[in-house]
Amino acid sequence: MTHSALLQPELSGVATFFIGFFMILIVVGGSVLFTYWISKDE
Amino acid sequence: MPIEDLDVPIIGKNVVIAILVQSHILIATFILGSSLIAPTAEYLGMVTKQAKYERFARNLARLIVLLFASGSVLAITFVLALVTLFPVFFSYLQNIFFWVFLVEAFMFLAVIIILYAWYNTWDKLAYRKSLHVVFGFVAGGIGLFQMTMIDAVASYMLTPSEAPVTDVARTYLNPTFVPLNMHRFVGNFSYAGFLTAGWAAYRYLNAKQEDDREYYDWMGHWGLLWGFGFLIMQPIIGYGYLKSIRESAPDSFNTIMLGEKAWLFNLVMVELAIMGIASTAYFVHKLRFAIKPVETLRKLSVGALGFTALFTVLNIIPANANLIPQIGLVFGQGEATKLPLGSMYPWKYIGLIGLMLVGFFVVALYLRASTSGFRWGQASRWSQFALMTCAVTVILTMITMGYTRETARRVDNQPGHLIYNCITLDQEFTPETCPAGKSLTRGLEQGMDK
Repeated sequence: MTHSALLQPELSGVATFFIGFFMILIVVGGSVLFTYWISKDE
Repeated sequence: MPIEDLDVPIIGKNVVIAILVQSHILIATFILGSSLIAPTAEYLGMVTKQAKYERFARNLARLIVLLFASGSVLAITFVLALVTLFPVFFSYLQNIFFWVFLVEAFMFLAVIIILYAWYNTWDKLAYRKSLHVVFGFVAGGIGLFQMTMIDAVASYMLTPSEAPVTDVARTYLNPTFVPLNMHRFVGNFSYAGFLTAGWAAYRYLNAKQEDDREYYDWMGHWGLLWGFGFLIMQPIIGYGYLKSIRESAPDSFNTIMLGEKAWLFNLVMVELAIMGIASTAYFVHKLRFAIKPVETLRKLSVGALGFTALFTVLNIIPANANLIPQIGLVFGQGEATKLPLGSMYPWKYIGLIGLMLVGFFVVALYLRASTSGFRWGQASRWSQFALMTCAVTVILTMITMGYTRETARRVDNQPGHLIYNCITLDQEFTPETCPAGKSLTRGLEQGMDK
């Protein structure tokens, strides 16, 4: 049985490093945008 | 239906925890730093009667209150993810640090009550300002206490004490607990200061009214004083922290300082260089707008900028040509090819000490010039870009340093550890190598037998 490379449990360390890095930026960026949005009309 | 041993496809479960914790820390550190900077500004506003301090403190308090929602959500999601993805490890952790986690939870409650009360009573306590300022400092102090609790856990994971976990004092005061706490205490102010300066710069560039330009120009200067002022303490405190890692977890130290992950430390030095040079350049620029001309001080600060650049170059030269082996960035004979001026002794020591001394010198010059005041609202665009550069770089530095500390426990991945030498990444307990021995699972086996 073959699996797509993307469905393997873990990618290489370098790939996960960059995925992790950009996901942190997305989560924090999202939190900041959310905070900006709820503060706009106050 | 039991969920059994879960893994996360594509990125793996370790990365999920890293993403949640790093995101939480980026927000929580800002809140911790700001919840002491804001009451300080409020106090200065009360003493000096300058409206800008009050405006800044109140706006920052509002931001803290609003940002607290996202920070808390990430903290709770992280704990849920940890319990779900690493249940065995979490039970060990809870076994060792039950009281720490309990205090942490109640501190959460306390900080919410005091922080929200502080913001909410701003107008009501307008005529009892001293009391209101105390409210703010109490909120900040509780936040610090929270940080201290979680530092006990985080430091123990890298450097567990050579004592049974029933020895509460030695477990809590493990070898890197105090240095980590100091490093984070100073880092909170620096991080919040740089972000404040970056935001002020953005608002300054977009300000339409003259009073807004003056206010945001001042706010950039105020934020940078916190950011750079506390940053220059980090070489000594960070050195103390690394020294304690070297003494208690030498393999981890070798991994991040001399081994395959040494590039991470070089990256931190590059980030430190960017912040050091950008901040000093801002100070040099700002001295042109001192109300009382300070041409001599400005010339001295130009010299300081040169020395900052020189010392930062010393810090960023890698020790050998084995630059980033993970992506094949290796030149010559790799580790065998030593680079000139790259060794830790004496060059990095000279670089770090020099950077700190020049930093103190330039801040002292700047503070002396600022006693006569500046003409606000006239700063150039590039000086504001320097502030924004510092803000972006400090975020990258936080991510780099967080990754460095956590990856240090992996050493050569044979095996990597969750608690160094005690619990592996596969949640296996290794009593033969664990400094705390079998005491780590004390009480758990009895529970399992039942």
